[in-house]
Amino acid sequence: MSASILAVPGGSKRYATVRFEESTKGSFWFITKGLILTLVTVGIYRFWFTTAVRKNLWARIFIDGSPAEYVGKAYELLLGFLVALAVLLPAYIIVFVATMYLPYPALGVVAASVLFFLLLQFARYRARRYIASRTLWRGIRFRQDGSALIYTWLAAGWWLVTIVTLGVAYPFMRASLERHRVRHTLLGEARFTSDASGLSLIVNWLIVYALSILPLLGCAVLLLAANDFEVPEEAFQGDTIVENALAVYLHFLKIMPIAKLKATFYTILISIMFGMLAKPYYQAREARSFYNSIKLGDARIYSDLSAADMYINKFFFYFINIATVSVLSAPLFAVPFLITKINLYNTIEKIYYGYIVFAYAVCVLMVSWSYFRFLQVGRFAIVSETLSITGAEALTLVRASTRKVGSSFDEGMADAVDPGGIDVGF
Amino acid sequence: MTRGCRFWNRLPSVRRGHAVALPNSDAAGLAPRDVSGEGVYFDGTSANPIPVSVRVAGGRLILDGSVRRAWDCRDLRASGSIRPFMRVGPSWNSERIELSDEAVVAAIEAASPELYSRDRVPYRLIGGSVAAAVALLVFVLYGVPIVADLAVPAIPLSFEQRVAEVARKQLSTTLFASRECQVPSGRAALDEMVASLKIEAWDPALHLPPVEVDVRVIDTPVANAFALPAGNIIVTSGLIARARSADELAGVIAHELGHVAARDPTRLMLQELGRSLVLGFFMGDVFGSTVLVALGNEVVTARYGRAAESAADAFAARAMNRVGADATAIAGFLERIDPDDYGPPAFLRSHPFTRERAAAIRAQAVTGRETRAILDDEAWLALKAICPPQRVPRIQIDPVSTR
Repeated sequence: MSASILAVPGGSKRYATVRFEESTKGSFWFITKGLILTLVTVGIYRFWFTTAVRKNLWARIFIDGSPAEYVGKAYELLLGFLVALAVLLPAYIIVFVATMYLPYPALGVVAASVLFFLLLQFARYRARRYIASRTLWRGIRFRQDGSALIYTWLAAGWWLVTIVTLGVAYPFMRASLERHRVRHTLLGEARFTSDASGLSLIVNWLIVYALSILPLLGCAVLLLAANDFEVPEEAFQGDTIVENALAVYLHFLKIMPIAKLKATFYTILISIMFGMLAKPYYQAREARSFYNSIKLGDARIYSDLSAADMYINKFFFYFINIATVSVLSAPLFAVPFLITKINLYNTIEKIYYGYIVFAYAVCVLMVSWSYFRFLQVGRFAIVSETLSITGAEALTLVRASTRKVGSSFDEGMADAVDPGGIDVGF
Repeated sequence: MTRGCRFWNRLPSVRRGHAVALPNSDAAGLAPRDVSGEGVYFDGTSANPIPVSVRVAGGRLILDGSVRRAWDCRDLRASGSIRPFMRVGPSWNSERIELSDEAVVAAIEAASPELYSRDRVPYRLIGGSVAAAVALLVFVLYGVPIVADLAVPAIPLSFEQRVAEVARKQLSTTLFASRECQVPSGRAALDEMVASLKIEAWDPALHLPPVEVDVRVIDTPVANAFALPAGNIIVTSGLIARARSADELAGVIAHELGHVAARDPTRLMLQELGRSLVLGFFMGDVFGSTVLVALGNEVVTARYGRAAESAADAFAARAMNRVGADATAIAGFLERIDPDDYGPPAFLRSHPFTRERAAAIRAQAVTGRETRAILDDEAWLALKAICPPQRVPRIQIDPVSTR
């Protein structure tokens, strides 16, 4: 059944809101308890924690008055993870052994990284399928079809283009992958469509690009050109790529005046800072543009997400963590001073290590907690709160699919592969 | 919703006011009265909202309107939602009613014993997770070394050789070693030293690894020695430079031979691989456990490392005793090149404290007898000069530039 079925005779004019129930009463303990249990169980509890958080979040988004529903089970994630483990463990060992037989060990690292990147794309697409299949709205299940393999190659191709164009093609890559994902997402039998375009984001991207990436590239080119940099002969004499790269690096340090190296260092630092400052702006523009491109029949999503919305959560996250770390680390700087003043080393040593453990535990909890509260839940809230739906009559025409629901192996693999862990968002 | 209201008004017999009193009257032992309100019905196959009136009466949830249902409250299940909103339906199908009327919600909660039956605190589950975590840690602590010991004989020598080549290159790179030292006279002296240690050192009780021992010297000021898989040993020129007698150097080489005899490099590599694979996979998204486990991994690695070091020290002392050399030379050399002045606390050390190692070696050394020099003076001087002086000055890395 195609999306055109969702066309309402005479046109659909009704406007529906998306509301996020903000009352976060009890959320502090909810998150804290989950994080502590995850910590104590060396990560095993995370499947239950993630499921609980998703259930909670999904229930808070009221789309046209009806909240979404997450029906995933934690044991599904655990089982999926164990299956993925059984497949991936031998794969890792094979990669490890194969690496040893490559002509250059550095080549092995590169090959393993590329393999890992491909696996990650694959796994993330499949994870999205799992989450979609466990999400209900008004009793209708979401779905995702399409081959994860095709998505993987698409992502790989686009990343290659992005690298070759020194990052200029980034928004086109993002838009292309977004279109692919959305066009393979369904609510029941109704398929979503997206006309997300990279071109509409190119100006926003180039602003970020000019602030963060361009100075780095320019800096590298200028430095090399100004010093008549030539690749030294030693660069080809080593046995390994690492040795050769090291030779180039040492040669570079030898010919480069210290003042210029300092200038380079500060350029890099400032570029990273600008990049971090400008990133939420681009993310907000991108999210808004992508949401506004989504249609389900005559129903259309409208987002008025502003860049300020994105900054607020980031600000709280960094503020809380920088404050916590500064306060807790202050005594650590005082201790070496005390030791030199009074000969207390043996007395203080145990207290010192004890304090480090304590301060570390508090920092971990604070970082994890604020990450969850502001960067996951907070962002989820702000993004859904700024959405609304036009042509909402079309939504009443959505019918459930009779297809079988996919397995949980999908997300288990993402969890086993993804260093970023399970994302609670959709 | 407006339609629902109109429908509601057509039923004058039901008054809304009863609802608020219901939970209290129930608690007070009074007979629960009917409570009613409005809701939206979904049939589970369509997203089309159908407004209905809802009534809780006689232990049943009654829907009235264009859809008529009467569900026994004992069969009702609610799915996770934020109060006062409730989504509720019978357990056997996917029909649902969505309502936000606090009174009706409270009445349904009071009448439906299994409404949230799946949402209880999972104590068994938490206990199970903790038990699984403990089992995992015990396996990493005790199981992985056993598995590694069993796996060592199965590792083909050619693979070990390959690993050793990779490790040697990496070692040279990380130590900024520009070349291998191979002045023939020095090389001959080194071979002589290794040969005398090797012949005498192998304890017949020990299982001999079927490997050729290959000792090489790399040119770096760092004073250290390493045992790599497949009988490969690396000695740095910095170590040779700081040795005051042939016995001191011989002691260090004997120590590395101890690692070779126990196949420590391969064993520890397999252990490390196994641990990081198991632990790495179990770490999830939370920063805390990842670092915690990384630290735990360091502690366990260091623990087995220390055990291997002590065994290699014992081997070295025994070898030196057999050759008739002065085993206490190793202790003195250790105290000189690796004093305990600073460094991580004991549980993070890959080697035991030098004072403990030195004491253990001295206790095992045979004393009170004539010792025999392991090399004559001429050979020792040749060995000291195994690295020809560098012609090209080394590139100095200015620390400022990396800041």
